[in-house]
Amino acid sequence: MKEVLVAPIALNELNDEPAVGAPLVERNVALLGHVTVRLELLIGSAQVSVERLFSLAKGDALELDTHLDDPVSLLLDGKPVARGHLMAAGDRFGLKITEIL
Amino acid sequence: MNALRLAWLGDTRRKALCALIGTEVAEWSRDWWIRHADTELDMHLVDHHGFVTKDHAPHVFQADSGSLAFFMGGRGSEGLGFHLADVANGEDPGWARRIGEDAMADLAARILRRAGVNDHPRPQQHQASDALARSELGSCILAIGIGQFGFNLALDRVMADRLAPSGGTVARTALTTRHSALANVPARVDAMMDFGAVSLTQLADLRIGEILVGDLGLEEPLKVCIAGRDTVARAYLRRVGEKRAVVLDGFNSQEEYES
Repeated sequence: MKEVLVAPIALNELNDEPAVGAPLVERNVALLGHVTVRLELLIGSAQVSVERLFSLAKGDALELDTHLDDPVSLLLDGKPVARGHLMAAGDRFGLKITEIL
Repeated sequence: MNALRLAWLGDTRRKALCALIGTEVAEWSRDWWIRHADTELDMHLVDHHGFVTKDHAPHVFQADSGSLAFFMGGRGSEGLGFHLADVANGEDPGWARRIGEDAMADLAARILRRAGVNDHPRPQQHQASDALARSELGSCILAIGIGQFGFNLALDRVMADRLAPSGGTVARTALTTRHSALANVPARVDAMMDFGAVSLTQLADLRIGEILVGDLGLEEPLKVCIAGRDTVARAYLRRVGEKRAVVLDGFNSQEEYES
C-alpha cells in the first residue's frame, strides 16, 4: 500500500488589495433564470392613528385609499416592478399586467 | 468625571443678585464699620473674572447647597479689619485679622441665611473652583466697596439660584408620557397579498396583457402590514362603496412580529 504524507493544511493569507480587471460573471439575468423570487401585491393603504391601530379588533373594517378599478402594484423585494388589474383567475387572485418596464 | 452644567446667568438675575447682596452688605456695614455711611457703599457686577485665577487664597465658604468666596486681594482679612475699625495699617495685625475674618464670616452667614442655607461652613483659603470663577458655569462676581476699601464676592450658580431663582422665562408645560403623545401620530397600514414565487425567467418574460395567477385563493385573507414591513394582522378584501377595504380577521402574536 502506498504511503501518503498527512499534514495540516496551511492556507495562504488573504490579500486585501482591491480586485482589478473585468467582472468574472457577466451581468446576465439569464444566468439566474432558475432562481425564484417571491412577489407581493400592494392592494391599498390606509392612514390610522397609533391609538386607532392599537384599538383595532377582529371584524373592524379599514377603508383603503384605492378605488375598485385602480391598478395594484406588483412588488419584488418591496419595490414595485409592474402594475396591473386585480382579477379572479378561477378560485385564485390574478393580476393582468398593464404596466411594466 | 464631574459634569458641570454650562449656564450663564442672565443680566436680569445678575442685577437682582447685586441688589439683594447690596441690601445685606448695607446692613452688615452698619454693624461692623465704625465709619459706616450709606453713600460710601458701592456695589457693582464684575464682567472680567481674570483676577480670580490670580488670587490664590480667597476665603471660600463651601456649603452643600452652594458656595461663595471673598477675594481680598493683597490686603487680606487684616486689611478689612483695619478698615472696619478705622485703624491705620501697622497696628497689631493679629486682632485686625480676627476682626476681618469675623466680619467676613458674618457677611457670609447673612448671605447664606438669605439663601435659606442653615449650615454655617467655616471659611477655607484655597484657589476658587471653576464653579466660582467661570461665568460660563454660572458664577456671579460682585465688586463691593466700603469707603476706600474694596473686595470681590463670587457666588456659584447653585448659590445664585437659591438667592435669585430663575423666573422661568421659558413656559414649561406639563410633560406627557411618550405613549400618550404617540396616540395621534399617523401610521400607514398596507394591505398586501403574498402572490407566490416565480422564476426570474418567468419574471423577465412578463408582458403587458399577461395574466399572472397568484397562490392566494379568493376567500383567503391578505396580510396587513405597518408601513409595508411588519405583518400585524390578517384581513379579508372587501369593498366600501367604490373603494377597496379590508375586514380584520386575526392578529399576529408578538412572537410572529419578531420572527
